[in-house]
Amino acid sequence: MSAGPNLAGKLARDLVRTVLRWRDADYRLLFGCAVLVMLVALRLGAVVVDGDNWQVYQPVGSAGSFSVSASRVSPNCADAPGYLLGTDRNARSLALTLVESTEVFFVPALMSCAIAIFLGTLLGAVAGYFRGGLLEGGIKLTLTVLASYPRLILVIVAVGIFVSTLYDPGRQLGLRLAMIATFLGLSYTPVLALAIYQKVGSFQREQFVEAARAHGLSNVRILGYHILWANCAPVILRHSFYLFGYFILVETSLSFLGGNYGVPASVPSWGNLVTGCDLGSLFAPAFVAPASAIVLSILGLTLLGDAVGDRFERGRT
Amino acid sequence: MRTARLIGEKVGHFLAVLFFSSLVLACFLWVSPGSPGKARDPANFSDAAVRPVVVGESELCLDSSRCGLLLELDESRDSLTLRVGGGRVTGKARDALYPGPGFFEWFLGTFWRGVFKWDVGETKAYEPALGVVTDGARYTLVIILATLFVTVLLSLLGVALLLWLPFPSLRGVLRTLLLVLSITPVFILGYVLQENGVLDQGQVTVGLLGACVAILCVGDSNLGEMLLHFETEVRSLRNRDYVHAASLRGASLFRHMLPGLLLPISSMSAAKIAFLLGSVVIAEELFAVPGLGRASLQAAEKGDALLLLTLTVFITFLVALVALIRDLLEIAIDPRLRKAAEDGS
Repeated sequence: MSAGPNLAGKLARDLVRTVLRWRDADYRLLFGCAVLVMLVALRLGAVVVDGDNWQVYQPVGSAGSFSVSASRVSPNCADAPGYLLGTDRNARSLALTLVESTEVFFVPALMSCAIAIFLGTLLGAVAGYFRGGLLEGGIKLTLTVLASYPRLILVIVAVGIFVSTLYDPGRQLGLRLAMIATFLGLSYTPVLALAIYQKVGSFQREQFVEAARAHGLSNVRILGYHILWANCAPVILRHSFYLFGYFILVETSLSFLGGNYGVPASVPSWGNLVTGCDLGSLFAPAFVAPASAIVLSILGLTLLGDAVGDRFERGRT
Repeated sequence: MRTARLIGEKVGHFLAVLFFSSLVLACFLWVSPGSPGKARDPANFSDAAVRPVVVGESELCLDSSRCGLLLELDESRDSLTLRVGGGRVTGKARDALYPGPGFFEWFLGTFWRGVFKWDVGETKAYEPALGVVTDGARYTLVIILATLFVTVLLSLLGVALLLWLPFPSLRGVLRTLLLVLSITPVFILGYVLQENGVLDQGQVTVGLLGACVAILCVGDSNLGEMLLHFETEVRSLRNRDYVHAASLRGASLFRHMLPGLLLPISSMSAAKIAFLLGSVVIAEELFAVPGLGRASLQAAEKGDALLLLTLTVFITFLVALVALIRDLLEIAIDPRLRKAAEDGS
């Protein structure tokens, strides 16, 4: 009996092989893994960085004055000495702000993935395994109903009516991020459930399932271990990477829209860094740095999802 | 006869999806802080019927939105206060004077009956909710349809280019470029266009164009994903026997492959309509287009449950309608489906 897919080991072996045999290198895998490592490193860095004690950049001459006027602080300054990438709109170090911004999406994105994986796998597996009954019809109708709401609109409606206030946009940030994660996970559930449904359906006629039935194994054992754990883990992993990237897209988009839906302007996020930059030039670091971080993260996670799916899913080339 | 039954099943599924999606959303709104089931403050009670209340032997008009009268009972109900010009009543007094509707009374009696009578009620800004939806739909539908049309057209042209390109490495570069373009969020490109003065905020006609440009260029992986999907479909179609036969006869390949391509086009369009409706929120907000997305944002800000329900039901109606059209097109185009229905399998 196999001991499960051991995806991490396979992925590490593939990565080493890809580096050693550069002619056959799968650049999607390399790039995606690099982005994933970068995101984890940035999140760990955000723990170390203490945003409250940051020095606000002031040009020479203003520091010794009795009262520092707001006009003498230099926001969006690209060449502030000692500040990597310059300063953001609040005249704080842009590099440190980028690092701290990972706090607002990393854990909620994982939460969103957990919700989608739990519900999507459960609904998809049950509907795919117990076909032709009322249960399958009911689950499929539920999934169609969930899929009929545009994801962004569902999240906006949820955040808007539960935690949005015009007077204090920063209120209940944790609750707001949890709601975004929950509703994005819910709205992604039909996609994962459909993929699992098709996968489980295709395994119904496989010999190993017939053999397991003949041995008298229970449906829960066959479905949970032999089908889901041993054969569907790559599908789940692929969609988890997609959803992680999609969460970054939605969070930054909502933060860009304003404090009533996403992260308020006082809390750094890649989305509101794009909004707040003074776009004098397209090559200004205050715009290029957060925009590139968003695009590269989403691109890397999507490519990683593709690469993992292509390599480990049975029946995919 | 069986084909008619198949069509009936699809229509029934469409109606069920529409009803249940509105039911789920209504339940969700019902438990929200701005629930329509809660008794409302008479000072803000715009649609209150003129209700006579007997105090002793005199009758009072309680249409507070018009005459600004407010009747307040204290908690022990042993005193009655009449205020002029607004104020706030709490707890039992409000519930006793203005009991909120029950869930099904509101959902079926007010909302759905209102939909059929074309009058679901007024928003918090005292506008007819259906009027707001139809006004917004004029802009959003134009954007969505134009976007779908041009994206499909560009994707097909891109497929032709990819098939024509002689060097495989060039195809790889083109695919990678398209992927990067598709991944770029709509707000980044829109922001660049807006801040550089290419498009001015507030100008609706330019805003419409800008929204189309933004969604077309970046979207939620629309162009790139569609193109790669269509390329795979065209490649598989080219290997079919009937296409080979047509090619050997010297017949038009385009004419023979088009029906086979219509299915992936319709299924891809149906799958993408929900993504487009999500993207359009950002584009409309960015370019100040008064469409459905912007109305949704404003309704969410105000916590306007009725408007949110009406808008979202309309949006899910659009998504379900496109899925229904795809299903009907599949039945019309794909003879295998009709044959399976006739055979009863």
